[in-house]
Amino acid sequence: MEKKQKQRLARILCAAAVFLLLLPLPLEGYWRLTAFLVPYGIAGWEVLWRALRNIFRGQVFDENFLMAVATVGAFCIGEYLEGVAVMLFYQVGELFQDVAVTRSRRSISELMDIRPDYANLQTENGLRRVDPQQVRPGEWVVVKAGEKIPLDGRVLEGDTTLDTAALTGEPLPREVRPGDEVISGCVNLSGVITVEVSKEFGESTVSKILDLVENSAGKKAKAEHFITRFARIYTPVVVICAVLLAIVPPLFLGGWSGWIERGLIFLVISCPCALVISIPMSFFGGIGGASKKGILVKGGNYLEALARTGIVVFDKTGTLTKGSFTVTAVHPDRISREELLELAALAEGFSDHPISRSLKKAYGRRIDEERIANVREIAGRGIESYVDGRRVCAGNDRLMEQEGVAWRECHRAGTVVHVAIDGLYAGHIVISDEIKPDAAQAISALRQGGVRKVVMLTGDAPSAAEQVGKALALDEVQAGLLPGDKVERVESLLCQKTGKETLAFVGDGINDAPVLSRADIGIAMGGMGSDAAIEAADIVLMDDQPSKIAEAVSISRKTLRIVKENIMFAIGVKILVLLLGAAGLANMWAAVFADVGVSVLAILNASRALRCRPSLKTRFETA
Amino acid sequence: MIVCKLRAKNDLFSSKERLAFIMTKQLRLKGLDCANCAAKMERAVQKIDGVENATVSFLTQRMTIEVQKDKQEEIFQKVLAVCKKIEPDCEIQA
Repeated sequence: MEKKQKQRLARILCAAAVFLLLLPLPLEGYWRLTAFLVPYGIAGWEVLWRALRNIFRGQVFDENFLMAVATVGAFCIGEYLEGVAVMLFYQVGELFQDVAVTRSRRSISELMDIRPDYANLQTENGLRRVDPQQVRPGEWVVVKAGEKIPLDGRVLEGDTTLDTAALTGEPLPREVRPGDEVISGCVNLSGVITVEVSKEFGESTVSKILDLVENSAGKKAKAEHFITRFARIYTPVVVICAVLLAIVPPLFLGGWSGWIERGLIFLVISCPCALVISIPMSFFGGIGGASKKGILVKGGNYLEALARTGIVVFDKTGTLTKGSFTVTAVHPDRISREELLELAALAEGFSDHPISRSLKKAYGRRIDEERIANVREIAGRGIESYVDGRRVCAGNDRLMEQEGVAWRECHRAGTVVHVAIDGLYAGHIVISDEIKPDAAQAISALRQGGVRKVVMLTGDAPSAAEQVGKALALDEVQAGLLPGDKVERVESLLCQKTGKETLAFVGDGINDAPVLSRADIGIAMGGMGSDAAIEAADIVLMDDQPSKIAEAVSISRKTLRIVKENIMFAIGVKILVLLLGAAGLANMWAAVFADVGVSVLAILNASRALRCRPSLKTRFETA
Repeated sequence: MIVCKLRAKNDLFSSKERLAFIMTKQLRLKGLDCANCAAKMERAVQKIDGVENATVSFLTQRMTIEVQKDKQEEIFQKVLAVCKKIEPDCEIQA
């Protein structure tokens, strides 16, 4: 508890003690009033003062004012006990709210405790401890065991294991060796490593994640907007009812003090605090709990949309499959196996596409760049380049069609790269990709979570796509798409939505930016690297496990369930007590429960959103 | 042919022209400890001329405002004044 809160607690305890001491005393008349004003003053002077101050500022109808009127009113009609009790409970409730909010703020900032405080910069005079913001790309920093990696970079020296849990939620440490890329925010567990910094602090992963999480509060969910609107109407309406109830009936029926008490009951219930705090707190908790698992949600609105996901569209490569292609077959025509592989590898020499990388890996030798000229990438089809002066086209069926080359079908499943030399077919190379180990589990978890349709879009050949589609039991597979086609397909899938359901698109962020922003919810995977993905997506998965999507959906559903529970419960109890109060069936105590009690319960319920169950994967491992 | 209405997400916000004269700013609200006041502040700030959008998050104690670039200093002063009026105990830091 903070100092301010402790003082408040002391005041409440003090007032409560005095109050209890006074209860059995046989005081009468003014003595009784004066005596009960003591605990009232101890507990409530601040409320009275604020109410007064705010009236002079033109801020009537705030909770201080309402509480002041309700309690002073209770004293006026001789209900001293109730007057003190209402003020005491109000203060208890306020204190509780304050503590709950502070705790939830703190637990989020602990989650986000990834900001490195310093960097050990390597200078001519040895190591110097500096602010990470001062380090420039190209400089070297040394990270010792137990320290956080301050900036993104590449390991130059040393082997070690890294704890990435704070970033990805992945409990297993990652091993790194010289040449590996490392990201800021990971904790170095064992050895000493020297890192060549590749990005400035502001561009490093840590800064981006922190920005993203902090900004998430700026995008509010519909439920939050609803509460704001509700609160704006609720308080004035209840206050007007209170006034009418206190004045109109007694004009005809008499019995002023009874009706005034009913009016005061209304005033006590007129604060929408329970909702105003607990609803944003649930979203805050949901977003915080998700980020603990390496799922970064950019705002409450996306969490809300995610909970209604009906259709999930996956990109294939790098999302459902590992994206680490390997050459599984080389079928040459006219030329030797080696020559075919060499030509394909050289033709794709400058490309960083996963297919090109696997070709180069299979080729195994250094790419002599002197031999390559005039490289032209043909989006969604392949590559055309000149190798040793010969025109080599390497790509899919469509490239061959475009070139007017007669190509042969291949019986092997996988991605087929056809090669044509100077317009003549020279054979093909088959590359296959592995399905990620948790992909099947992710899809069945999504279906259990209420997703109606799972679709895969890919630029790959139908045969390779079908194979993945069958293995994962997807509802629909659309293959052979150009990047532009994906937007079109997603648009036609958007038309198939029914009711309030939403469509989520999951991609690895490479070439996916337009689709990510077109879908209701764009989810980018492996957000560690790609800036465009972090920019365009609404939800960023820090690692590349598809099972995290199912987890994100389940977190969002849980959060929304809590939000609904709180809205129904708080509004329900308040309206019930208002009705009973109007009929004269509820007393001040019931009103205090409807105000403070409901607040406390709603906040306790909201704090469940932050606690999340162990991840799917760990649960499967322990099972 | 199915006619369907597609939402062009962030249509307005991402357009380049708009970005040219709108800027987003984050303010820290220290000592903001009443959720209702946060909502009031949000509403009041949204009404200020030149403020395109404003959100106040009670939990992160932050205000995000989108203001017209050319008038930002003037708007910023108005924001401070409005917040001071609603919650005098709250300190605003850029």
